[in-house]
Amino acid sequence: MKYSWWKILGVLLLLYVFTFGFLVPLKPGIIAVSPVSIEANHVSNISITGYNSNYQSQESSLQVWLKIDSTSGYQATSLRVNGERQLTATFDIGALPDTTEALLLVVNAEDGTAIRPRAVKINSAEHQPASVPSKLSALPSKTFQTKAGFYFPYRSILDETIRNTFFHVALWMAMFVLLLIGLYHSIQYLRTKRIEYDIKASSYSYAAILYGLLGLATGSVWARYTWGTWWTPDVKLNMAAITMLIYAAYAVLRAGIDDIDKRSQLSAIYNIFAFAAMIPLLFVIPRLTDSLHPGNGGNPALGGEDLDNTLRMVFYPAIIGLFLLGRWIATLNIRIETLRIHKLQSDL
Amino acid sequence: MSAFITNIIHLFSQQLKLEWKSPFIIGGNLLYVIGAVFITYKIFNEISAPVWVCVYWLIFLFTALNSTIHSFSREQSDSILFYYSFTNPVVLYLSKVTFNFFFLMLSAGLLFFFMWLFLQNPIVDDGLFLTAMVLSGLGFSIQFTFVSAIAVHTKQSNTMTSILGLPLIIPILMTAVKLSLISSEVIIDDGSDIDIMILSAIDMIMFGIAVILFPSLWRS
Repeated sequence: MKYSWWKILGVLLLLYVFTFGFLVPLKPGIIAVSPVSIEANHVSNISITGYNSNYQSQESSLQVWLKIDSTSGYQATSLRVNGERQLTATFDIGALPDTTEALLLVVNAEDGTAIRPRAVKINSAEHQPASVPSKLSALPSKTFQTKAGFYFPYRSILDETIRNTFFHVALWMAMFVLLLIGLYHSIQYLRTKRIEYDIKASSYSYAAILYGLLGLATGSVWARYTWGTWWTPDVKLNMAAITMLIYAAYAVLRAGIDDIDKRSQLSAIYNIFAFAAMIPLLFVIPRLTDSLHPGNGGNPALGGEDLDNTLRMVFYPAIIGLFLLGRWIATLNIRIETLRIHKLQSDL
Repeated sequence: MSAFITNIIHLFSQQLKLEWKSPFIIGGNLLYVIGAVFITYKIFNEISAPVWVCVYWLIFLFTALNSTIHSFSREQSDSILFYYSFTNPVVLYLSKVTFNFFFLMLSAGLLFFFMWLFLQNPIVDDGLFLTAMVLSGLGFSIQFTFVSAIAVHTKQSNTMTSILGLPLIIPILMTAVKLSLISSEVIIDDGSDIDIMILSAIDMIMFGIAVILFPSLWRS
């Protein structure tokens, strides 16, 4: 019990991650808008499908806006609510100088603000008399309000798959920590030549390979939902795949040498060499190349709008929990390998 | 320091003499290059610039693998003992890398010549292409020499060199292919200096790590 507190901690953290990660609902959002293109100088009906929304029960405080620029937009002149998830808004669009992709806002007292960026394209009229008024009105100062309570943010395209952040991203973080520990033990082996460091290094690296494969699998499922394909030519995916190949080669190398001392020595050297080769793969090239992943173009993905505080409350425990689980897997492997070495020695 | 360099040059010329005594290795590699180019020519007849670049780098990659795979495995056990007792491992590694690098550059030049002869030459920016070739040839020789030194201790050292080396070489290869595509104006990109920087940085990191690790590898 004294030595296994971290196993219990890891399991508890993962239980927390699984329960909260899957059970906490998303904030209200807008799934679908139709039509997506309307004409300026016309009165148009737009039907809106909400997600986790309360249109019917909050009809009295319901407001729908098409936001044109930072201060002004069109408010729906009339609303017809067909249930909690469905409403039709009528807009009286005036003259617009340019074709605009307007942001759609649905506000009510209970749900706060649901946003859909570039929801409706307003085509400017071709022959526009100068006298037609724009009919724009100023947005109320309290347009953006968030729903009270503990909810994960709603992002269009991601929808419910935003929960995969706790598994896909956290798996990569945990994998990297495990690889670092493996690297440390490899260096220790080269310094001391003690067999237990070799066992530790290989066990942590194997656990990291497992996590990498799981990271690829969860990412592939996520890509299928958001980008529409299981695999894309995106730079991060391919770099991750190469990393897996490098560490698979590490496993093959270990399997290819019978002599234990030689195996320890060579695999420790290859591990350090592979880790150095991996750094440009995972940390330099993706930063310099365009990627479909969030946060591309120079900055890491952690922070900003994509990871708000409610997500963080599950995401950080997920990293720690997965790391502790990986350590557990590694220690089991260490014990098996140590017993195997002992058996070899007693057989001799 | 001068003794260090003299030693490298000495071992380098030693290596050269050794190759000269068994010319079938160099000849075999050259034949490999010519044969591969001729097969490509017979398969494609005409070839577009992106395919030219891809074929060029594929042949280059496998020529590099073929020629460096034997860096250590061809040594007789008594010459290994000689190296072991009389030379600094870093000197040995550097001489091998230098030799492999020059040999690779020779192969690359011949490859380019034959590709030009049979399949035209889509390269517009010669300087950029040459830079990519030199930097990646350096990276190839650094990594493959190191990896073949690891693999020589295993049972199937030739297979093991490919298994260990190919994944490690992919970043260098991809950057080099991108640079060649830029130099043949298949992709228009003015950010080629960043790729050159990546390539040199990978070379330097690999070189540093290899030089640090090679002594402990050699002693085993």
